[in-house]
Amino acid sequence: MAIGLVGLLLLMIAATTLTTSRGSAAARLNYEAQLVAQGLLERYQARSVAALPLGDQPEVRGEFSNGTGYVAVVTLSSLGPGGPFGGLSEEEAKGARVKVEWRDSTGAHQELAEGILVKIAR
Amino acid sequence: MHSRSQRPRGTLANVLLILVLAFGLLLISASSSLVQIRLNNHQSASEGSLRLAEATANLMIARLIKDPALDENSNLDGSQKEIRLELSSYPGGEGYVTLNSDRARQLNIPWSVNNLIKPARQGWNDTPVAGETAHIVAEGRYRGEVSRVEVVLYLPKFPYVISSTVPISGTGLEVFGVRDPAVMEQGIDAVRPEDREPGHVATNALNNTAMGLHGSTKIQGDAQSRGGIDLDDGAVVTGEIRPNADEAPVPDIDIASLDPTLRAGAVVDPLSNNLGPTTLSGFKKTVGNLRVSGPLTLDGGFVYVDGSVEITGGLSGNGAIIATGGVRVTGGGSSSFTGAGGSAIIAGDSVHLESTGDGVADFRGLIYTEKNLTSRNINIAGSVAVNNPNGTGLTELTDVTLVESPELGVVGIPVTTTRPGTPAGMMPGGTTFHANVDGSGRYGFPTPVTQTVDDGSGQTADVFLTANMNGPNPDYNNPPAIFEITHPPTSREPYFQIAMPASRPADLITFGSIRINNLNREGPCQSKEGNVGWQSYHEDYTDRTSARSGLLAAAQAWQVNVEVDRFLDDSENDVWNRQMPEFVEMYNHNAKLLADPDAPTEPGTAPIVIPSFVELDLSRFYNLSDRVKILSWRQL
Repeated sequence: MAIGLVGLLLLMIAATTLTTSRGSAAARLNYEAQLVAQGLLERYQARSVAALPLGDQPEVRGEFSNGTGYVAVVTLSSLGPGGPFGGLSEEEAKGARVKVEWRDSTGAHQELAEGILVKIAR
Repeated sequence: MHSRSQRPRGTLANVLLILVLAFGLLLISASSSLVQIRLNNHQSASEGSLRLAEATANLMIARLIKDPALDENSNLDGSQKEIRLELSSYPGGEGYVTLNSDRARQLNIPWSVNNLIKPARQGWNDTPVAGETAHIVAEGRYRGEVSRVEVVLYLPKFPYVISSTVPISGTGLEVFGVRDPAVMEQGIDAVRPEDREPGHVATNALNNTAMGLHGSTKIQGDAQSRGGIDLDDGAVVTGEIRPNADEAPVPDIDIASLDPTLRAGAVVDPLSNNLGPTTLSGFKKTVGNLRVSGPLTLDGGFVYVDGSVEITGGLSGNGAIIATGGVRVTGGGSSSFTGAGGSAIIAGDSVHLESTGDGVADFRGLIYTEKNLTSRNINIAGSVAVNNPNGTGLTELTDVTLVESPELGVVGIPVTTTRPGTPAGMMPGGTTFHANVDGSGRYGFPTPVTQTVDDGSGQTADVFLTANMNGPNPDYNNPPAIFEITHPPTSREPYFQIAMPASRPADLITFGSIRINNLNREGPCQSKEGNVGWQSYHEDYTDRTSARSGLLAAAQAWQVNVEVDRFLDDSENDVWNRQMPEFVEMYNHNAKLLADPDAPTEPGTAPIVIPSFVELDLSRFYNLSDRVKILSWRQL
């Protein structure tokens, strides 16, 4: 019986370790996906806002540090004329939304980031 | 050996121990998962609030660039004084920014200050916000997390040390900026690393190699291109490398409008088409090409050539070469391009600068071309613009150092012209305010005493202590600081016009000066006018405090009680009520007459030398919104 209990204990340790490591791996991927999204926002901010077309931009494919592949898509949108946007034209500002998607053994995941691109010399 | 009764107890203890351990492990596992979930949520909320803050700050930047006049009274969204931004990726979250401190306090958020076109004011958290800057603090709130982003915008006089519509090719090119041109006293190459600031380069060419940085090129700033940027292994850009960037502003000058014959009042001398080594001053113009075989020195020279220019001995001094065609300057010697006061080269065609002697030459000032720029072995401090309208051509910089210097990018040229005589109809200066000009003893000034005239004649004269309030001598190129300038000189109307100050200044003695005459009661006097004697020595005081001390000392020397304060009060009142209005009328009338070359000259009067000042400033061709840049960006 003692042997059985020890076995059960080992099983639980293994399960706990697996759960924790899976959780931290998932968190790690979320974090890396955020970095990818942030990097894409910055990359688009460095480009000419006026020259960027509205809609989905060419998708970006890459791998996280553990080899898991991801696909990132930047979607640019018009901000609209009124409200807080104060008549800004599409040449002056655009909305940017980044979606980073990946799939692993636990299923499909995605991370979003959103910002506003403006014409400014940095 | 264990007894039978001990074995079950031992087994039970083992089971209990293992169950406790198992329960502990379950607890750890559960709490670990919980912590993980919380961390994920926290991270996600943090990221969301930060993105909202950043997006709101960006939106405020765009709004300020579109309308730099936005201030604390501006409605930023309908009738609201704040911007509230929602983004679909962060449901329930909001970004906030406002320029109104009262509204900020109501919303419990920081406020931003826009001083882009205003003088310095304090901002949120007692942050000093300088003039020509904006301090933006945006806040994002999402799932209980709060993030703040602080952005400082500023208005550099020149956004780039070189902005070009054609591709830039740099080999051995070095680019940096300096705040104070004095750090270049020992030469541009001698600027210490700690005095070097960022200097930026930009091209609007669209091809893949719109900016080629080769060899040991070092850009201590940003490299920006509408097309691509080709960076060799040895080349370094310490700032941002921005291919596919926005169009950079490039100045666009109407060169023909700089023809000095279009300047009202300018006396323009014709210039020969072929010159040897020479120094040029004043306004000059030649039709056809100009060739200078040897060095050309500009000493306040403003040279306009309706054609092209070739100078073979280098260019130095302070002035401007303006050509509707190209400008080619070659020469030897490391100082042959140095202009201490700065020079300008403005050309409708290509500009070629090359030091062909020993060492690298320095050029200080501004360069503008509407075709190509080629420069070799030249250090250029100031501002460079290549505005080739058709975009084909090249800016080729070989072994060149470019230094961004806002001060040197503006070239001021003192140009003197000579009028044949005094214009007819000049108004005379006004009369002064006297205390005792007739010796009548006003304000307690003494009646005359008899003194010997010190001219060997043995005569005597009546001498009395006196003082008077004098106005300034009118300097038609530098109006007295006490007045407001209502019209600065322009190329068409090259004269100042002034007006009375809006409110009465505190010390009106500064308008001119109090002069005290005949300070010595015992004499002698040095001259005699009628029966009144005058001592050659006098004292002048240009503020009330010192004038009061001087008058009291003089009264003591004469052993009289002078009503010093009443005299000074009356002097100031006379200045304010009579002298200054008279001076304004005279100044404005005479300034216009002097600037009018067609005004008839008073016969028999001597020629008048009129100094004028021509300022060439590329920055005035930039829109304010083109100049706005981000100085700093940080998360608070």
